[in-house]
This record gives sequence, C-alpha cells and structure tokens, in this order.
Amino acid sequence: MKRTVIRITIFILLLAAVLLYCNSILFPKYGDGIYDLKKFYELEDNTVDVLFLGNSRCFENFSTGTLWDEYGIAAFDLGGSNQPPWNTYHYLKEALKTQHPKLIVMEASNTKQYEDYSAQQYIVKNNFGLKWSRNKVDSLLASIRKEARFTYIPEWLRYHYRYTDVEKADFVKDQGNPLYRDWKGFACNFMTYPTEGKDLSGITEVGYLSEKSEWYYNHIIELAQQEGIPIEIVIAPYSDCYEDEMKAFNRTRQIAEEKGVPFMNCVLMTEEMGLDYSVDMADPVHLNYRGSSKFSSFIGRHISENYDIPDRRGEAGYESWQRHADYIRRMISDQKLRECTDVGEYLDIISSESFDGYEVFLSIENAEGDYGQVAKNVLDGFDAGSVETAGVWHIRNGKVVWGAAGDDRDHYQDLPFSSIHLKKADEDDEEGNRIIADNRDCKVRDGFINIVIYDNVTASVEDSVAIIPGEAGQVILERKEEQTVQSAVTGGE
Amino acid sequence: MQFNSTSFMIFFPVVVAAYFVIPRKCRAVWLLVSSYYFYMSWNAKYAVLIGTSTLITYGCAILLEKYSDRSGIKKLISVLCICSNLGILAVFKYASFAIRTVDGLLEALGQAPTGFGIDLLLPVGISFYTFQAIGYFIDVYRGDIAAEKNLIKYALFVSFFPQLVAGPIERSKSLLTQIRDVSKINVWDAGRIASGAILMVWGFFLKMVIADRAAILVNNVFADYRMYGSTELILAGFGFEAQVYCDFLSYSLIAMGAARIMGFVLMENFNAPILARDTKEFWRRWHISLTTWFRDYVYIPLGGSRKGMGRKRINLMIVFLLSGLWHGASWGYIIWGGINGLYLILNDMTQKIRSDTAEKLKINTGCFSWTFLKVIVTNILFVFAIIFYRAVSVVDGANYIKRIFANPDPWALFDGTVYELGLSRTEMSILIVSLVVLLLVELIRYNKDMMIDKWLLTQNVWFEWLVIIALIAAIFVFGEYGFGFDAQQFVYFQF
Repeated sequence: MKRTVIRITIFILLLAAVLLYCNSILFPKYGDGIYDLKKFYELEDNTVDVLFLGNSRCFENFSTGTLWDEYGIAAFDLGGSNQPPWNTYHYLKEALKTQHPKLIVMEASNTKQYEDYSAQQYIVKNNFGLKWSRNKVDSLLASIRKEARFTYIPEWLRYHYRYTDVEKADFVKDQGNPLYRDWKGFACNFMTYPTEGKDLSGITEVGYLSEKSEWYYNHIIELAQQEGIPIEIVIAPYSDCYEDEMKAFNRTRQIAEEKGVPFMNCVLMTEEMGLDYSVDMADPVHLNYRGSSKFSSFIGRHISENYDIPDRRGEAGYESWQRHADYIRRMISDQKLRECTDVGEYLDIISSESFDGYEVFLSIENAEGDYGQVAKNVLDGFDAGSVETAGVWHIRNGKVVWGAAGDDRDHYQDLPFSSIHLKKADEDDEEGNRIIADNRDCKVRDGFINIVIYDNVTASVEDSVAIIPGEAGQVILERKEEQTVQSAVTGGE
Repeated sequence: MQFNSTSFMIFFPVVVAAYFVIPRKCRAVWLLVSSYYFYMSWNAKYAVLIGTSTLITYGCAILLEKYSDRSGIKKLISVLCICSNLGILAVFKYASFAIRTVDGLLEALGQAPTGFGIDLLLPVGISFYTFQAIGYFIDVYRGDIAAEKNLIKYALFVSFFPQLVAGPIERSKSLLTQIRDVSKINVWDAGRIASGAILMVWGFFLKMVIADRAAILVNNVFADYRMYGSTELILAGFGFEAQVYCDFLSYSLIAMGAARIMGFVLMENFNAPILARDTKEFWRRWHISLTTWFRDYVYIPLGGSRKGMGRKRINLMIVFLLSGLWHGASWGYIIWGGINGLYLILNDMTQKIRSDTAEKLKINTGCFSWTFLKVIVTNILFVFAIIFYRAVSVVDGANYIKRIFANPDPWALFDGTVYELGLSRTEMSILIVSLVVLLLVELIRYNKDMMIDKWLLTQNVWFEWLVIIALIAAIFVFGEYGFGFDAQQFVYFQF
C-alpha cells in the first residue's frame, strides 16, 4: 500500500511538472499587459518610487528611461492595452501587495470607456498576468460577462491552442529579448505619424463617464488615499482628441478635484512641453520616442518640483533601472541610425571606434568606375585595404575582423540570439555575396555596397542599407521599407 | 454530459469517490442514481423512456419465468415485450423517416402526401439500451439467465452510465451477473484502477486529438464537396474513417476504463479492425457488441448458415440492412449496411476464385506485401461505404464518389491545397503523428492480442509513465477543446 502511494505521488508530481512546463511555453507573453506584470513581480519589494497606471497611453508615453536619466526617478509603467478602470483598480491592488510607491500617477484616458466589458483579447491581456489570488478572481469577475465566465476560467481554455504559434521566444528567458531583462514597462514606440493638434481649450462642458468606469475611478483614488500615497491624475497628450472625449475628461477632472487630487490634462499643455505633433506622434493616440522623451521630461520636472522623490542614480539596488535606461537610450540611438539618410554621415558613425558593441557586415559587388571609388572610400574608412570588384567583410569598432581572401569565402559568426553567415560569391554564384542572419538574407540590393548592422546590446540586426548611385553622381542610402522601424514590445493594440 | 465535457470531469471523480467509500450494499443504488443523473443531464424527459423500457422488460422477464411451462403465454409475453420496446424505438427513431419515405413515394406517384408530421427529439442512446434490454429478455426466454428480481439491479443493468449512451451493448450474462455481485467487488485494486485509467486516457487522446481534429477537415470537405477534386475527397473519406473509428473506439475505451475503475468488466468493442485482411475479418473486429448481438439474436434465429448458401447470404444481407437501419433512420445508412452486406457475400462467393488466381499467378500470399495489399483494399472498401454514411443524402454520396473519379487533381498534394481544408500544416502534422501512434497501438493489439493498458503495464515503469504522461500532455495541449471550439459530439450518440 505504502509503495503504491509513493508511486502515485511521484507520478502525479512528474505529470504536474510536465503540464506546468507546457503551460509556461503556451502562456501568452504579450508585452502590452502580461509581461509587464511578470517583470513587476520580479522587482525587489518597495523599490518603485513612482507607479504609473493606465492603458497603452500609460506604458507608451511615460518613459521610465527618460525619468531615470534626467531625474533618477525609479518608476514603473504598470498597464495593459485598452485597460479599463476596473483592471487598473485591480492592478493597483496587486501592486500595493509588494510596493509602497511615493507617488501614483494614473493616466486616466481610460475613464472615457463606455462599454462595461472589453473584447476578449483585452480581457486576456489585462487579467491573465495577475497571480492567482482573490484580487485576480475579482478582476476576472469584473471583466467578464457572467455567462462567459467559464470560458476564461480555467485560463488554459483560452490559450492552449497557442501551440500553432509557438516560437523561440516561448522557450527562452525573457523571450530572448534583452529589453525585457531589466524592463520597467515602458514600450518605446518608433513609428512616426505626422499630424496636427486641435485647439480644445474652449471645451469646458462636463460630460459623463459610464457608471462602472466612474465607480472604479473613484475607488482607485480612494485606495491610494487609504494607503496614504499621493495620487495624481494625468491625461497624456494626443493629437486626435475629440470634443466628447474632452468633455469626459472634464468629468474626470471634476471627480479628481472633488477628492482633492491633482489633475493635469496634458492635451492642453503641448506647448509647455515643446511637443510637435508633426514629428512626435507614433499614431493618433500614442507618442513616439521623441514625444515620450519630451513628455516624460516635463512630467519628471513636475514630479521633482512637487513631490519628494529621491534621485536613485548610483544607489545600490537600483542597477536594473540604470541598465533599463541605458537600453532605452541604445534603442533610440539605433532608431536614429535607421533614420540617417546621408551616406557620409552614416559611414562616419559606423566606422567610428566609438561605434561600440556593434558588428558591421559589409558586402561590395561590381565596384567599378565612379562607384568603385565610393567602395574604396567605404573600405578606407574601415582600413580594409584595397578592393577589387567584390568582397565581404566583418568589422567591429571600426576595424576589420575578417575579410574574404582567396578561397576563404565563408565566415560564420555566433552572436547573442543570432548566427551570421557572410559569403563571398564565386564566379558561378548568380545570387552574389550574401549576408545571412538567422537564415534570412539581409542584403537590401544585389550588385551594390550593402551594410548590415548588428547590435550586440539589443541582440538584433538593427539596420540594413545599400549604397546605390543617385542623381548627379551622388550616392544614396536605400533601405527596405519595413526596416525603418523596429518594434520594441510584442503585442500592442 | 459527454465524456469530453467539464461536467463529466467533475461527475466521474465524485461518483467514483463516493462509490469507493459508501457501504457495499448501497453501491447499486448509488450507481443507479448516478446513471440516471448522467442520462437526464441531456434531457430529463428521456428518463421516462428508459424507465418504461426497463419496467416492461423487468416485468415481462419475471412473468416469462413464472409461465415458463405455458408456451402460449410465453409467446404472448415475448411479443408484448419485444414489440413494445421496438415500438418505442420505432416511434422515436423511425416514424419520421417512414412518413418521409411514404410521402416521397406518394409524390412520385403523383398522389397527395399523408399529411402526418412527427418531430420528436431522438433520445440519446435509445438504440443501445433498447437492444441491451431486448437481449436480456431473449436470454431469459432461452433460459440462459434467470430473470432479475431486484428492480434496482436490473434498472442499473439497463442504465449503467459508462456504456449507456454509446455502448458497448452488454450481455446480461456478463454485466447483469457483475451487477448482482456488486457488493463483492474489491474496489481498492490499484492494478485494475491503473488499467482503467490508461484506457480512459487513451480514449480521450483518440477523441480529442484525432477524431475531433479529423472532423474539422471532414466537415469542411463533405459540406462543400462539389468544390473539391479527387485528392481532397479521398483525403476526407479516409479522414472520416479515422474520425468515426477513433470517435467510437474512444467512447468504448472510456466506457471500459470508467467501468473497470469501478470494478466492472465491459466487453471489448473493437479489435484492430483497420488491420483486418478482408471485410469478413473486419466485421469480426468492428463494433463487436453490435455484430455479435445481431449474430445471436437475428442471424442465428433466421437460420444462419444452417439452411444452405443462398439462405445464408440472404440472412447476411438482412442483418446488414437492419444494422444500417439501426445506425440511423435514413437511406444513406441502409445503403451503407447493404454495401457492407454485399461485401461479405462477395467475399464469400469469390474466396475460392481469389485463392485459385493467386496460386495460378504464383503470388506469394505469405509475405508482408500481400497482407499489406489486403489491408489497404479492405480499408478502401470500408471508406467507399462510409461515404454514404456521412453524406447528407444518397444522391450526395453518389455524387461524392462520382467526383472522385471525374475530377482528378493530384497537384493538390503538392500545391498546398490540402492545408486549406481547415487544418494548417501544424494541425495536419499533429494529426499524422497521432495516426502513426494509433497505428502502432493497433499493431500491438493485432499481433500481440493485447490492449494498450495490458501492454503498457507489462513494460518498465519509466516507459509506462513516459507514454501515459505524453498522452495526457498531448490531450491538454493538442486536444480540440476550449474557447471557440465546439466539441464534436460522439458520433454514435445519435444511434
């Protein structure tokens, strides 16, 4: 009998281990609502000084990198895509279990949510990341229509079919994305959506919020006040704000003022923060990396002037915030490289010894005549020696690490999360030289000078360009269209 | 309450847990209550029908025994019992079909239709428990078993929940005898429980990973077969073979496993039929509880093979037409039964010619390639017949087969068309790998005469656990269930 009990116990433990492993692989890992909670749970207790709450306009606008770089503020963006106030309330309750921030900032544009229930993908994103507790159950019950509750509980019913989408990111730590290692919830958006703002300063009429939204909004404020934590309500700037939305925000303001809580409608404060909607928006409702830097700089100044928030830079225990800010800056540098269109400037940047932590892969084909001179100038910049008509080179810190010579035509380089293969074509090879990263040819245009930039920090190919002849004897940079923007976070609305 | 439902996942452990701990004398009552709850979870009104059938056969069997020496009364009771049971079946299952058929004939003759209309909901499992009850009554009539005096035990025999709605159709000599001794069952037998659990796990794998996955492709193609060429139609035909076999086998295995966990032994319903060498062998291995029921209670009473070859063949055809009708009230099922009857008759008629031809042509019939060919041909014949079983109507079945020959499109195998039938490459890969696993288990069943539970329990424990854990993980991960998925009913529920 005893032997049977032991056998059954071991079997059940093994089975549970296998099923838990399967669950860990298939569990959704959206960066816009689940993964930020995972990283939040990993924080040391009571290390967050400023907690930002809200929907995507929280985690795409409050740059935790800028706040750290400029003010040393240890902040965290805890939100989810299309997050309604009831989920924000339960996220706050969850956060307060391990953190006691010195300030809570709620991006409250979600208070204008009129539907009492979200679409299923937002229910998943705004609930599934919570650890099982009474708070999670309450959050689920608030999020799901009564008749649909058992289609979400157990959660496994919603995502076991993900086996058709499983990829490398599901198996490796932090999805193999270095961003997530020290992530503080900020999703830096690199799109650019040129637009114009509207003058809504004359809208003073007070609109209405749905009963459910208002109830939860009130309880968010009351919860913060009960905990003795200052809370500030902010509407982040966005270009496509409508009159009705502004009226609803006036009601949001009214409630905040009734409860003695500071309120800032930044839609009306773009000039103060120097926002330019023609370059600072990523889409109609989110700021891009330029806009979020300006907005966060403004918010950081406001916080440091009005609240007693310590500067944590250099303080032990906050190294991950420094690494996170370094990473955000690195992503912005990479984006600026991708936005560079001047050949000379581009070559100066990538041939500089200070271009540290990058691997440059260079391919030259058909370098004859004037174009041959261009190729020679490129190689001179890297001190790569003379050029004939074709070749491939691997360059690091401005120095050639490897160059094809004679029969030595292939070069393999293992890099973080990637493998690169450089191949110099022989006479019979119609495809020409190749620069292959993770089985994908990164060359932009055959028959010209191609440069591929791999960033060891972000562990990805950040830019691929071809230098091609332009008008009037000039040469220009050409990129594949999809390479001009790199996404930072999986998921999104 | 289907086996692959959340309700059953709660119901079964609760029933078993209570069954294991309650006093022995309460076991029959508890199982009867559980069985009726299980059955009424579909529709509480169904209980009236099964209750009526139970009371009629219970009372008639006792009366039969009482008047065993008066043949006139015996015959009267028998007619009353069998007719009333078949009458219930006829009204609920066949009346609508009969009226439709008569109306069709009248219309063809230019006459006005009958004007009758019956729209009754078919009670699940009615064909199964009706045949089980009739089988018991005939056994009592023949003196093979004594009439059961304990109504609770008899009612449990008719309604025993593991096999109630889709078989196996149990014999009174087996199941009723076990129920009579239910208080003597030693419930705490770890080996027996493990064996039952393995059967259930394998059954759930077949249902949720194979049958319901194949059903996606099959449903898509059969629903719109005019849009497809031969490749897709053949694929869907074999897909339906996989679906219907895994679906029905899975139900039988889960039923066997559930019963075994509680200490009951149910008969094996399938014995690797897909590896049968000819249609005769196939029908010895397919839906054994039904084919043996027809053999014992229809074929043999009709004279079997005792009255000459001609009569034997007529008897065979009668049995298969009835079998088709038993499966469903439509001409498609009857034709399916007729085709299978024809297969058996032709198999019988051509046996000598085939062996003589093989001998003349010096074909080696003792090697793998010959066996392989026979297995393939048997399966092709089976698939050909079940197209009528699956198609919406006989005309659709005929058109489906016609299109297979008239619209060849071999390129569909190479241009990605097969992945546009409802199953992506990943889903198709899962289906193929699962079918390979099924084939391995079938080979063990056929060659070693061992069911998966027995075979696994003779292996080293690491291998046994590896297989069981892999099957459970496959069910959890690859099973067709969850949000957005409408779990397919077990195909045989409608019978």
